Amino acid sequence: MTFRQFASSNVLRNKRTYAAYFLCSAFSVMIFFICTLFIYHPELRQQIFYPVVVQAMAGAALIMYVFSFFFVLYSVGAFMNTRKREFGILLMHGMTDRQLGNMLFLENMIIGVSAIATGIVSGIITGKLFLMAGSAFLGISPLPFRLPAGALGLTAASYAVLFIIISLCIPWLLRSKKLIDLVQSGQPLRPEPGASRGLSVLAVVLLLLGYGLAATSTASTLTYRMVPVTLITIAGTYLFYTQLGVKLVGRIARSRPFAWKQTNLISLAGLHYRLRDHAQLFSIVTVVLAISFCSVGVFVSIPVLSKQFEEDFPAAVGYMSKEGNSLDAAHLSEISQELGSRSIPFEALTLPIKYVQAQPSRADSQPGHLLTLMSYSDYKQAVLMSGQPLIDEPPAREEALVLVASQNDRTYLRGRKLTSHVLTSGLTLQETRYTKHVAVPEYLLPDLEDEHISGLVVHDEVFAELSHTLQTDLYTGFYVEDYRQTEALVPELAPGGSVRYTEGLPYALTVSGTLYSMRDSLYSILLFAALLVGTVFFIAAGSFLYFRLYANLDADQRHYATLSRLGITDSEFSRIVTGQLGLLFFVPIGLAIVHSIFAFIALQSYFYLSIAAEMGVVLVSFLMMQVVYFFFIRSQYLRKLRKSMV
Amino acid sequence: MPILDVRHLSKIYEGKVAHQALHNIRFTVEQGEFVGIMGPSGSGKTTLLNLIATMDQPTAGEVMINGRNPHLLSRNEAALFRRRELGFVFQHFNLLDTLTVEENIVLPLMLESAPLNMMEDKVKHIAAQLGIESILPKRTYEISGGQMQLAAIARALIQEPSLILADEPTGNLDSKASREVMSTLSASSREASATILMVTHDPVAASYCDRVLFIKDGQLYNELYCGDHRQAFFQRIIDMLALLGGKSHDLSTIRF
Repeated sequence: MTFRQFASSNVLRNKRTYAAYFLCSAFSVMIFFICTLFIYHPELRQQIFYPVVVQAMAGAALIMYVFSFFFVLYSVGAFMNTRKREFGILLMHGMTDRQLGNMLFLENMIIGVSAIATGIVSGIITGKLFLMAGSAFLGISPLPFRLPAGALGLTAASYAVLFIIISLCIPWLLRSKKLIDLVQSGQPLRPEPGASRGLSVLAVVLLLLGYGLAATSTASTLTYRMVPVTLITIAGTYLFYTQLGVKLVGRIARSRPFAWKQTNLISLAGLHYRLRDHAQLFSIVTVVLAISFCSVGVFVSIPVLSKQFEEDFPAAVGYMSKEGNSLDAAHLSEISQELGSRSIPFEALTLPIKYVQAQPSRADSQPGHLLTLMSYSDYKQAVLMSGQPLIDEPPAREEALVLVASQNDRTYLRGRKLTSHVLTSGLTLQETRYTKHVAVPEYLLPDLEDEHISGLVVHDEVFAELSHTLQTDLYTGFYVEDYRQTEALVPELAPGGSVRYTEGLPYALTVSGTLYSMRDSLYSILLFAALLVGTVFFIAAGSFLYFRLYANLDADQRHYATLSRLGITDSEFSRIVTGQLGLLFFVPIGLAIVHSIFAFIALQSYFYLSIAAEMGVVLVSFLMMQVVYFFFIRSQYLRKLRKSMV
Repeated sequence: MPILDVRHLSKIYEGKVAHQALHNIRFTVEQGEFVGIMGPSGSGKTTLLNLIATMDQPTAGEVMINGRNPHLLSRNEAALFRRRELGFVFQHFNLLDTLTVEENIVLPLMLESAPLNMMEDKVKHIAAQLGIESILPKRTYEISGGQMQLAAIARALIQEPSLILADEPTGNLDSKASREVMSTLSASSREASATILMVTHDPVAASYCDRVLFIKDGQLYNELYCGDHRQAFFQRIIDMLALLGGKSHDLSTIRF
């Protein structure tokens, strides 16, 4: 037997242990490959949203790659632990460290190369399916299957590099292990799990703190709270398993009236050790699952923004002509002609927007800030034209309504204070409340210092009497029955559906139909990418559990063989196993769901509309998948254990 | 009525080459008797024990334990039968290392949902009887092999089973621990009038029995009764083993 044969038979004979690791690696290779299929797809390049697709898919591929790196590293480390004794025996019989390193390198490369091959082949087989799903998400006609060399090369090369790097790390993982430790590691020396009371309390405190901070965050605090809250929760999760869990189970196992009854003690004592031995794994699985839920949840909830699209873009086509724009008449007639040629009936409205200097207070000597003003009757007309019922009362002379830029910006306005502005004319405008509606489509007004409001609505007389006006723009809104009909209108004026005010052109323009379909495909492709990544994470978490279970299979078989000789019935046996597996499968997912619920509460602060329904769907579907996976593994595992029983 | 009645028991292992492991074995064990089974490797000792322990099905013949034939029971009933009527002592102790010694001992009672105070009384009583009170709260990795085997004996005795089956109970122990374990077993047989059937290779261990059955090639070959003198009994066992075809140097180390 050559050395290479030795290494390959080591892998083949341990296939049960390596199965989940191999499948999960192959699966991430496959998803990575699918992402590159989208990136390199020749027909997709011609679509207007190609850059978006590239970004989403490249992001997904990158996340997958980084994740694969850690996944492979962790799995390899775990395998080495289960095989320590074997290594000890080999070293004792005179294998050099170098040979051992070579053997492990070869073994890992065998798995790696076959995972890459399997991943790419299954990617090629299922590629058409994913392309169809992707095109359905994007709302385009199904993409034909192409096999670009770039996709093949990128996938094979990146994963080959990954496996080589990790295989090279193996000797480093094994270093400083004394021979005696390796040889003796198989022996069952199992001290009772211990946990400290202080750290258990800390676990509760950290989790509550994390949850509390998440639940109370607002749109403005969310950004800087996100990282600390995540870290606090991860630390809390780790302590929850290593300390609190061990402590609680140990205490229950010691309470005789409950524990000394039928099979309770066997389950509890088993759980006690399992928690101690696998606490790290439980925390990783919990965190990975929570990340998976959250990433899918975020991208499922973003399309909620589309629900308020019509409110944020009240006019189907909005045209803002900056002062001094000589082309406005030509542009406006072009828009009306195109609308006419599509035989879309429309109504138009033109109103002036004025810009003035203002200061926060009378005493201030600073140069002051720019204010965008529109009159109340213009506001009223714009709202009524868009078919929304007017709710806002007119402001008094010295009052102003704050014009919101988009409905979702209200989440930021919760933390904003109403202020007053002093105009150059000496008039003081006191902000009294926020408008209920968006009058001018988003993007058509310049960003003010206070970036979430687009301007003030003032009394008609104040508007008419304004002096020292810096600039007067003319806004024209075209209102139609169904804004979706305006898709791809005037493409040369507004590529991509919008020209923002800040882009420096003499005009700003929004075409709702184009914008809507752009956004829709952006959200869809993001969701599609998140689903791909989320699924990989979910499967990886499952593979960690599977691996743990099978690494302990021999010990468990001995355990249950003893019990069965002592006379344990089949139903008692399957009750113990189901209980233990159930905890293994559902405690991490349960905690991950709780984590995600709090993450979603935090996320909700970002949204004006409720995202509860979307989140519920995400969590329930993940839970269902876990249930199916649980029953599958349970039946396999029971069958395996039964073989060793009387 | 004997506790154990083995009637014309035969076992044939099917396979590419069928192999008859046991051939028409018959013997009985009375209440309170301590019976050893010896024989060379491959003679069928362990097969016999597995058949009596209901872990395997005989090809022909039957086993009656306390008047019942456990091989006619369903899987579930057989498990309950093992739990209630049989006690086991294994070569590898087979204590659960997730439990303390005390918890290991009461395990059979726990599975039966016995009342808590009854379990605590019984474990105290039996630990006193075997002299292992001090190790009750310990874990299996903290105690010696001999102590583990004593704990396993306590676990086998606690249900007061009809029959205790011991499979090489001294196989993993040194001679001092072996003696301690064997005198405990024979004392339990005498004092608690426990019925014990033990398979062993070790003539010293066998010399603690009331009677030793010898098996060769799946058939009963001979039996020896202890009589009054244990040392003489030991010598007769050695002689019998030599006659059975064991090479005499196999035994030289334990001839003392």
